[in-house]
Amino acid sequence: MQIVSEISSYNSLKKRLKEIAQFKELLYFFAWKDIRVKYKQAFLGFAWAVLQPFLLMLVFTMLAKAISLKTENIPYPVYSFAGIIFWNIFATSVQSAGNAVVSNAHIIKKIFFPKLFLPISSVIVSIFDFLVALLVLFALIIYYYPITSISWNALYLIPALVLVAITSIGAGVFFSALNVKYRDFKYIIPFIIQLGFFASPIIYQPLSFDNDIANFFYNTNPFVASMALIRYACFNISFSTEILIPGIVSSIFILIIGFFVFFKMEKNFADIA
Amino acid sequence: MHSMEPIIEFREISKRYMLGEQNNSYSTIRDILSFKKKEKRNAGVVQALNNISFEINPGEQVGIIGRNGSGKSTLLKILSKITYPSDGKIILRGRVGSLLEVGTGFHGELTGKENIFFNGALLGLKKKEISLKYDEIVEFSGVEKFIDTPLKHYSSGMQLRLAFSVAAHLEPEILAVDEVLAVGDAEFQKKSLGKMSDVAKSGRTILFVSHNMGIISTLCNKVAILNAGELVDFGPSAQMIEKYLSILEKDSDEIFQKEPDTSLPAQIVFAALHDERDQMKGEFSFSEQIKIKLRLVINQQVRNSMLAIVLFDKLKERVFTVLKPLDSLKNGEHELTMLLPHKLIAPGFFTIGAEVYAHLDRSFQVEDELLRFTIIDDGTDFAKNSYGNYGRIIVNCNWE
Repeated sequence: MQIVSEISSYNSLKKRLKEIAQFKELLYFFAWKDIRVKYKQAFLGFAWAVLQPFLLMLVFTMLAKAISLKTENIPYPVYSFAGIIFWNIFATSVQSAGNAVVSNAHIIKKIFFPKLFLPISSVIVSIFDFLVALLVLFALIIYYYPITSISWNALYLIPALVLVAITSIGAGVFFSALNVKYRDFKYIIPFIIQLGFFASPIIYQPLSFDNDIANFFYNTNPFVASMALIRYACFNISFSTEILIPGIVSSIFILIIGFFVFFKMEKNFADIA
Repeated sequence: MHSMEPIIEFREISKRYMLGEQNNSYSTIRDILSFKKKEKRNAGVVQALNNISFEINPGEQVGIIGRNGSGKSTLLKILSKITYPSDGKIILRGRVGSLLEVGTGFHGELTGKENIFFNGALLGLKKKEISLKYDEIVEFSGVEKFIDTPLKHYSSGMQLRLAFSVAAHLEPEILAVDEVLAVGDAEFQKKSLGKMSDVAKSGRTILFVSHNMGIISTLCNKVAILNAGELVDFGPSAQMIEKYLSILEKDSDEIFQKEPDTSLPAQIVFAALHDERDQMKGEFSFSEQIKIKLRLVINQQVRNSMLAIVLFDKLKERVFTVLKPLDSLKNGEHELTMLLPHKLIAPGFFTIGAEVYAHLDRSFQVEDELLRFTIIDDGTDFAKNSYGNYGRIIVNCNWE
């Protein structure tokens, strides 16, 4: 008889990846279940995915009137909506991924499966919400024709989505692990999201500093890079390629840190969750 | 297969917990910044399992017995990969199913069908495998009519049937069941036992953790005894059960004492057994009067609070339960004496358990083994006729 598995205190990366590959269909089922439960009451599910960014857009449009935010001559509603729906991927996935492990403790204590699927599934649900809201973005772009129009540039939304997804998975996985051990992260996460929203050029145009070092640090925010891609895709606002690099590097860095922390702490989840 | 390789090899398995880590010991960032953590470190380590090694061959049914806290459940949790060993390793040559996961991940908003697929995937089945077995699972569960209805509209019996039906179609090579953890209603227990004997008959491997020696002796051909995290012995069931019972009897302490905990509304802090002349002892003859003396501290009067005294036989089966309402007791210490009826409890080894609780609310204190005692045959009718099995109680009935 062949050895089916070996259980020990040490789990190599290879062993974990093998487990993930073995269970890969489960990730699909987790995301499917979460989406199914969320959209079961179809009206609330779909309406919320659209209504929430739409209301935010209205409020920020008023704000923009009050303090005259710069938008590179794009009508503010569509300009801010594009940013909000991408930021929402990050915000909602970090929020729900943060709780994903803790709220599934009853399953973790009874059954073995790669726990990494819990936070990643939260990110997939957020991306699903985003796809629903994306239709509204396209509608807005058409509404403001000829100031804005849909072109082949829209394909740049794909790398933007990939960048946002990598950042969201990294941060979501990171916080989901830490939240198991340190429960006050649940108060810190909303604050970090709020801080990030205003510090990133989501509803206003990116800043640029005279100082190169300041510019570099500003650009390490992955949302500076993704917003540049998004605004090129939707509004044909050009950008210089080198501002993308710090953001791409830091999003990959966030992903690696997130996975590293998660794998380090995963072993004790069943004991303390 | 000629050279039979073991299906499970436990190799020097140890498991340590930092004290307080086992239950809800998450901390806060505040704790790290302050000195709290330091205190915790000094609190020490609990050795839940220490250097456990044994092997199980395919088709063996193995019972794991031991007192509470002996590490039985931890061993099974490690086997099902829910928690990891601190040292050592287990080599598995088959898939492990545990019945612990029956219905795990079921969601009320999903239909019966959707739950079958999600639960199946969680148990490690591929979508293709579930599709293949789907019709069988539905038929076996007997809920075909409601399969597209959300689970929240099912009765609990229907949910259980559906959950069991998925688990029954898993067919793992190794079935590991923890009776201690498998809370749930009588029907669930009955189903679990039924499933286990089916699996045993089909020649698959079983690991069964239980306090119930009766079930162990009918279901298992081998038994592992654990005590304080150590493997005491591993061998044929009958022999091991006898050994375990003799260990239990040998260290029967005659008194029970507990540190007072003022956070509990009511608590037993002392208990002992006495005879008619108020002599403290642990062995009584059949016709002797047994007094259970308790010292009970009431810190807070809670409505409907009760004391339950339970008599268990040596197989840990409940013989009877005596309830005493505590509502009338004022705050402070109380001496209670309960008289066990004499000439009723049959010769043999018994344990007394106790629970202090608020009815329909919560439990303050649960003691599985408050006290132990032995009843010695001093000339009952049965003994005179040299009929070995007394049963648990002896009653005199009138004939007409």
